[in-house]
Amino acid sequence: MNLRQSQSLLHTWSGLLTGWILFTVFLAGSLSFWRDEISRWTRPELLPAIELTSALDGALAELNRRAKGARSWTIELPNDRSAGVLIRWQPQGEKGRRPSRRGESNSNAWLDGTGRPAVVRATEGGDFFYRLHFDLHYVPAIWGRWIVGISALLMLTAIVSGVITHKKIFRDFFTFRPGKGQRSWLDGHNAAAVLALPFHFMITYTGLVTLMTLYMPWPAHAVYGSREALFAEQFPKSAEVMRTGVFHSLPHLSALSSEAEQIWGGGRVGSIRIEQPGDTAQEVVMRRRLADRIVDGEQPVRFAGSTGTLLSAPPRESIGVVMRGAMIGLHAGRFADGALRWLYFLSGLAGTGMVASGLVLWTSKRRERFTNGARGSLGVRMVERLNIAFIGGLPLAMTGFLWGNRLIPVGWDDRAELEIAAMFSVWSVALLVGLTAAPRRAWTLLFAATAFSLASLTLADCFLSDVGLWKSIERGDGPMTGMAGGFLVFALLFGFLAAKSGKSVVGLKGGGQSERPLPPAEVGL
Amino acid sequence: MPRNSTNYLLGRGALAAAGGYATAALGSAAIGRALPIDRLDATLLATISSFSIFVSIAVIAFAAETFFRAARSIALILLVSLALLASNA
Repeated sequence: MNLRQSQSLLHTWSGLLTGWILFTVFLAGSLSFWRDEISRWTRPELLPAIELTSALDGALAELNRRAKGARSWTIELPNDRSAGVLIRWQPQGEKGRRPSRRGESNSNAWLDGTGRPAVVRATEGGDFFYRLHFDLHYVPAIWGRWIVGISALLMLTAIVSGVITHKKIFRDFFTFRPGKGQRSWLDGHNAAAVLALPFHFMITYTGLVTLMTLYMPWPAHAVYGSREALFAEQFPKSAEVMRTGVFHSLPHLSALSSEAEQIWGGGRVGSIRIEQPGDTAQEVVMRRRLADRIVDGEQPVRFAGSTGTLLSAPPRESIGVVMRGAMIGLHAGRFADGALRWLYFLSGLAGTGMVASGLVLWTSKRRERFTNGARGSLGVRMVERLNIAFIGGLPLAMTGFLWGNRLIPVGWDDRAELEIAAMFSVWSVALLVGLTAAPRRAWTLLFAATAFSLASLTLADCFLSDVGLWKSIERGDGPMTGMAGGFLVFALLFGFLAAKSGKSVVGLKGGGQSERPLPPAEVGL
Repeated sequence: MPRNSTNYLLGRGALAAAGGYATAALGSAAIGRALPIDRLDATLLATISSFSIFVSIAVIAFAAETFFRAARSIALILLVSLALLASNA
């Protein structure tokens, strides 16, 4: 077995074993580049305008009304893309526990951009796709992270071995032979892979870096003795602020945020935390907007809330810290505006398409070995049906989440969890379709259903919310017009896929192509 | 897939996974200790580098002519990492 053949095997099998997870991770990750926009769409009650001073005053007044004497208050300010102010609080004695991310607990609330309380439907919004991207769902987050991490490591291996496999990588990129079954899938797979190859490599590597001490704690053990000891130095913690019981008026947040912004050299405040608010011992922590710069790091600045004295400046940013921060920042792309964000999104979709075409290529290659009419081995049929369930089913299921957001009544308990249940219910139905219907029919059915779901959602949303297509255009609301327009573009795309999969030319059906089989090194064994 | 390919795949796959992770773990731990810079920076940079080590080992595991040769190369790299790790204890 020569080098290219061995790398081809490595490429094929590392790709197949993780393909369905990677498809989910790539698709959810691509959508997460629009996390703020999706969150806005799912909370149509909030509009993006913000008046910082009145927002801060309103937040303090509301926190004081609802959570007087709490252990801490947190105010999360919107960035240029999001809307509304989120306030959170932690009752006394509730130590170190972050508020539950599932559903809206009773210890947080939304205000509009001017600081007035707003009634907002409970939803995870764009955070749902963001979490799905690395935690998966219905499994403990730590399992999800390991499953995603192992998949990412195999993906990185598949990329490197894929490059070695394709010696004619640039010629491959300019080669597309449509309507030729398996060959078209190979060309498409190569084009999607090569087109965004630097992106795929970057996004996979930096994705591993986001959770690197989980996957690879051994340098921390070797140097520090434990991960906790590393974290203690990497993210220094201040001592717990103790309540004195002596009342003090609330801190002047506007003044403190200007001071923090000066320390950062032009950055802007993203979130403000007040520990033991209203007590003379109160302390204020200002964190920076992550969208400010490429390097991911909130650079917390701590002030004594009653006197305004600076207690601690941001931790130092030396080479290792900046390297890690820059890689995480490149992965999340929070700094990216306009054209660059679109490039991130489209590259992510190219990755999604690369994984999907690779999976389909695996089955289409094997199906051609069987004569017309033969059904292929159990393994090939299982892979084919799982392909249908994921590639055809997941996009449809995601539209189920969006429909759930619009149709589940605002006052219902657990509605945030119900939206997610709506998505997984649709996915289960898609899986059932994939398992029972003839493969070609199943592809067409799921693609057509996705197209219909998205098109009808865009239409219905003109009447269901204030961020529908017409109202958004009227308001000059670019991002929400973009969301509705995006739904329509995807509806067209899935309609096209439905029409194409109905014919045999794309090779989804497989078989029937009278052409020379590809040499094994080109498609894997 | 022919039987000899299945054996090849399982053998090399296991070697790539186990050898790759072990080498990445020991190798990055050794780098973390050996780098002559601040220990926080050294630890973070070493951890970042670990994934490159894994992929290189996986490629070697599949590229070597025989399973034995692949295992021997990986064992050698493991031993060097171990020695480096121990010498900086």
